[in-house]
Amino acid sequence: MTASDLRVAVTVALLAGYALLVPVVGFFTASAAFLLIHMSFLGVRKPVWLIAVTAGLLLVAWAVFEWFLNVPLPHGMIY
Amino acid sequence: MFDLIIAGMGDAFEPMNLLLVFAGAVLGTVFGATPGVSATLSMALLVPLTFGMTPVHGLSFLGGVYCGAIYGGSISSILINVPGTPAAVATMLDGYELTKKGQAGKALGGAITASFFGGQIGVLVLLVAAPLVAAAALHIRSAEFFWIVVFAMSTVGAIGGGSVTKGLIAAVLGLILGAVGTHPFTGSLRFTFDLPALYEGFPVIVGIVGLFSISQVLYLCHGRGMDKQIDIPTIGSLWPGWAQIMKVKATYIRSAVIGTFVGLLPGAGADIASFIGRNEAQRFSKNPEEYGKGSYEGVVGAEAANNAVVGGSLVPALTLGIPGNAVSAALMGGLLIHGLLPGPRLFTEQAGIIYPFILSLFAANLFFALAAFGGLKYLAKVVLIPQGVLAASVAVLSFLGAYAYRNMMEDVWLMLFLGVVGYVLRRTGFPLAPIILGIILGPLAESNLERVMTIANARGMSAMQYFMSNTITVVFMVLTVAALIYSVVREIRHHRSGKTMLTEE
Repeated sequence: MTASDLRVAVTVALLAGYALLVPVVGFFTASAAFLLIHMSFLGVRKPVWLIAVTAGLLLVAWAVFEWFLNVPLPHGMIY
Repeated sequence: MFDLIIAGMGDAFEPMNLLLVFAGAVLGTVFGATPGVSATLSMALLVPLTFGMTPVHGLSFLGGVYCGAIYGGSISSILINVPGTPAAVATMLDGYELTKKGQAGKALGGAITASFFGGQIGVLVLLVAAPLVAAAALHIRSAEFFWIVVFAMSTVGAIGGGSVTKGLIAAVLGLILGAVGTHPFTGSLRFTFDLPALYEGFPVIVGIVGLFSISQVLYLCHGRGMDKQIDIPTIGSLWPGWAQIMKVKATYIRSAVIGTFVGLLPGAGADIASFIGRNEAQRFSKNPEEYGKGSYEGVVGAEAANNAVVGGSLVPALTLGIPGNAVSAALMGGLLIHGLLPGPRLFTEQAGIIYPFILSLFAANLFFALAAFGGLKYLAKVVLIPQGVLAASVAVLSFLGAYAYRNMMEDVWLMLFLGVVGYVLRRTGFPLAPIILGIILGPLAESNLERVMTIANARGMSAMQYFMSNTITVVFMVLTVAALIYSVVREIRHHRSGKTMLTEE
């Protein structure tokens, strides 16, 4: 197993964990956790990238789905 | 037809619709320009945004995305020698050479003008041809339609880039997925594994997001997230000037026509069109030796062809429900969500939706061109996004899309499952587009075959006897066999010469 195969396998596991977490803690919390863990795992270390991308994507997801389209995302225990 | 076009203008060019077309064209350009995000993926990620829109708004937005994404791929091809989409691989050959000579602006301008012109020709053909094809298609009988669909599936192997065997296997995989759900005639459940999410059949949009987005997320994880330092070269003036444009006007026109025709064919997409467009441009060129060393004409030849595919590919997709490539299949997924069944009736029963949509594509081409001329400096920044950021973001957007389709977590799991399957298939050299075509075309072929069997039974014939009694059916049967023979011969020849054609999307 090469390093890139390992990265793919870990990513599959992270995606499955993400899907398990969404109904429990809510879409936004689970997505934030997934984004931060997955990006750092892939070697994105600059806090600017990590925070800006996580905050930006969640904001867009909230604005588009919950506010503009009125499609409620799973909220779970946290949000 | 003309009254319908005039009536459609009101809805197409109404301010809110134009705003959405503009948003779609800009988002499409940005996504398309991002290396690793193909036009199909852009569409798959942005279809969910249309769930809550009216059909005209939603489709016009997606039309903008389609046109923008096919154009956008050229930006990264020209600037950093990495194709933004597979459709822009041919653009790279001359585009990046011009950049190396410090003429990035000239190449980018050539790509914008060619994409705009090719796109408009394609849409013009769509506007004129689609209603005629639809009118003729109303008279197609079940037996004929069944064989048209079978023929479309068989050309996947003949036209697609890679191995014919693998293309056909992928098509059969798609047919199997297409058989999932409630049987159209008996109502019994097939291959549903007791999952309520599968009762209505395999959800096309979830399939597209899984196969294209999640498999791409996994591909993006091959490299580490932040490897190389990328520098955007200086761009300079974008407008190539009328003199330059008029000098190669024949190439603009020739490639636009080629692209439109390639788009009409099932199984061939913008990636193949751009190569054919560039090859033909070189064959007719006064300066063929410049090709590959930074020929403006080469950029135009590729870019006019790939954007012309948009209009061409929508002709069979809208009139027959047979998408020519994966992007138009994704757009068809968007149609289905709004309860619109692609087919000839779209042009009579849903004329109030379909004409505004087609007309809005003219605006889409204009908008990506204006956005590119006005803001290319800023659009080009997307090439700086690290792969790790891209992978994680695409994953989250895919989750959003798969969930929001029906508010079901089961769809997210289906998406992940297909994503892993799609990744394994891509690693082993199987193309993904035929799978999507199979999911869409399988039920279409089946319901027509069922009808044929009922009719044939009533007349005391076998289905085969019934098929043989109809000339059009026989023609398509012969064409199907011819396409398969051609594919096999081509495959054998490729094996002997040991070279492969282009890679598929």
